[in-house]
Amino acid sequence: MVKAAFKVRHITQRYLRPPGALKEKDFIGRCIRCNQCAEICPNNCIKFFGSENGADSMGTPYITPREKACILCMKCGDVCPTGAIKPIKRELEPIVQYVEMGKARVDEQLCLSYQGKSCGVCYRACPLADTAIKVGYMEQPTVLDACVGCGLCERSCIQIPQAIKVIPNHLLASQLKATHLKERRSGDNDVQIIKFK
Amino acid sequence: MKSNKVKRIFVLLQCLFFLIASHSSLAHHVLGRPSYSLNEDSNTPPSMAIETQIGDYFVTYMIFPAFPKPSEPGRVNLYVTRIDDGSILSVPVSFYVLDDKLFSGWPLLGDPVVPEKIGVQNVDDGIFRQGFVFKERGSYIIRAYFEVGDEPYEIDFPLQVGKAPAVGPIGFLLGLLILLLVSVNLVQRKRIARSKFQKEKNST
Amino acid sequence: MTFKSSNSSSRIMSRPYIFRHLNKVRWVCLTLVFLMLVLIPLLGIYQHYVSASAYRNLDGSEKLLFDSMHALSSPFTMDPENDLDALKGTTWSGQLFGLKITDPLAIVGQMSAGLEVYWPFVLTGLIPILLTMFFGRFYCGWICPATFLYELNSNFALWLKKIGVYTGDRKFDRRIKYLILLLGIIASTITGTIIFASLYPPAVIGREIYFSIALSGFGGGTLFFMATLLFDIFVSKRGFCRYLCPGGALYSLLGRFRPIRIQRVVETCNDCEKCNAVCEFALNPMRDDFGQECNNCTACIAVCPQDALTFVVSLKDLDNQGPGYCSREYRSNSDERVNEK
Repeated sequence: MVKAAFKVRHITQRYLRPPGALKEKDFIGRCIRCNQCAEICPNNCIKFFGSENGADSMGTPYITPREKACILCMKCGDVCPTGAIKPIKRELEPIVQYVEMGKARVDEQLCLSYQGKSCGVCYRACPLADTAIKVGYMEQPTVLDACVGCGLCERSCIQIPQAIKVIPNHLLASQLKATHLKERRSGDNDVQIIKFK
Repeated sequence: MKSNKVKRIFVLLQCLFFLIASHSSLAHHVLGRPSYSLNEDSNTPPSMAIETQIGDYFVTYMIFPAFPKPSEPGRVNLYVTRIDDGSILSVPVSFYVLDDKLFSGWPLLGDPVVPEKIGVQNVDDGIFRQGFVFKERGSYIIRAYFEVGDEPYEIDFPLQVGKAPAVGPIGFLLGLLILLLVSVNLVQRKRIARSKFQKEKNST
Repeated sequence: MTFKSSNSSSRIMSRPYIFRHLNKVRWVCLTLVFLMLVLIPLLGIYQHYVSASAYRNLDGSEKLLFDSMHALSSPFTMDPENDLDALKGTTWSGQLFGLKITDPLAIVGQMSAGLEVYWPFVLTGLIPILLTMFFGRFYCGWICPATFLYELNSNFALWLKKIGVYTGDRKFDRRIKYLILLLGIIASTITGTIIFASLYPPAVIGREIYFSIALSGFGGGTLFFMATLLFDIFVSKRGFCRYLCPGGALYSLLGRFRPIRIQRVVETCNDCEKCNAVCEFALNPMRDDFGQECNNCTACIAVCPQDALTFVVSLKDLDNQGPGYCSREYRSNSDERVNEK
């Protein structure tokens, strides 16, 4: 039997919510679909769902980092009238502590630095370099705990498809079917393979 | 002696001040800058990208350049990995192209579309790369086909060559409607006002 | 103005000149709101281009947008990148120079969807709620972008009728919209999302205008709204506003005891029925029946040839005062009374 996918159109699983957004279930109940977050975004990265993510999500904001990543200006939190996006101060500590868009993951099978060609573009694109990501031998990147998931690394990756991607917050907790994405914990020298079922 | 002490304290205070000031500048460092959507000249344009799970595999599809134009060469990059252990697909993948008409492929509605084969590719550094050149602009579908053991896999992805029409049919209709409403109201307002009262007169 | 009256003139109020022209002010207001709904997204795009220092990357139409918005905003601000943050949003929810104002229906919807009260959000609706309690359903007449299009549409339908096209004027029960409001609240609670955001015309219009300008696309909302326009032409004049709009239901409830209301001066009324003819909500001003649904649109005040309608400060309408004293019916009645004597 042919396993077919008819006209695959849209990435629906791997999207990010704006920085400071509430947990997915609460977010959907709180967001009044006023569109002000996208209006105020100076980077113009926020888009809105139609029906592709279910009727619940219709009209809610999301970000596709590979197309346009979040620069963490935190204006969306200021303008959101309902607190669906929490206002967070635009400083290092509050951002690292409260922004939970997701976590970046490096796919070493794709990453040029791990294939013997030194790169490091993602490290240079990261606004929280050395806090969220660090590079070692041959500019091989390691994502650290403090990564907030803004996606600037994913946006800048010169590999097609990108070797570093942000796993969104709402997929981190749930079951993800990829076991080959490894995460190195800061301070650990051992490689920990996170197995998702 | 005393002035030396004062000088030393002053220098210490200055050093302290700089330490504190540099800490706050760390907090204010530039957290990325807004950017206009990078155009085709950038080396990492926002590509048309799709990620999907099908069967045992996780497939990522990306086009380069991001906005292919007619008569310009481009390529499809396909990255296929197994969901359970992350290993990359090793069998060759065949690529076909079809026209993406509104009802293409639907059993009763559309004319049967014949896919045109554009190539068979082996994995190259982990990625399947298939070049293409389209002479005419339009909406196309790229079909990737591969077989793992006995199981065939067939996945359709969209491809837009050239610019999509800016104002769709809905927008055009709406613009027309609003123009009509406003113009009739302005031009015929006296007549409309009179007809409101004539209606009442007839009813009484 | 001379009044033909047989009664003492003590109850006749001399009406301020402006009342007759409030209807024009109202149209200016509606047009301005609609223009702002178009302008704010355009300014937002311009602001994004400025923030991204993108002028040299823009193509023809984008340059045109940039230049025109620059021309509009440069007299007012030297720093559009930050200053234009002051104007955001739509009538559903927006901010004006830091003051956030939200449609009360959004607040009701969000409270039902999340089953929680988030006070900072509720407070953004305070000004509209208080104004509605004072002036009644004025949002429907003076601000709602849907009213702007619906009223143009209902006039358009009159012209269609003149040239022979079939139009409908069925009357339904005004209470249906209260039921819709209740059902919407229940549905929001069950599904956990705000149903009103998709079915309430001003929210839909604001969003569709924003989508079409900033995201170059229309959604299903446009089709929904066009369907209501067709409903208004072919089935029932102003049918959505009169019988279906949950926002209208909410504002009518809030504005039931409004102190500022329209009242008929029976001494000068001549029963010509022009007020009833222009009332878009099919109320009965000629017999003092304004009710909670009156939106103070002042169309009746503007049209009355006898200046027999005016604003008063009163917590409820007068009971039916009967035929106007200048009307034929009244005079024939009073002649009878005189003859009886």
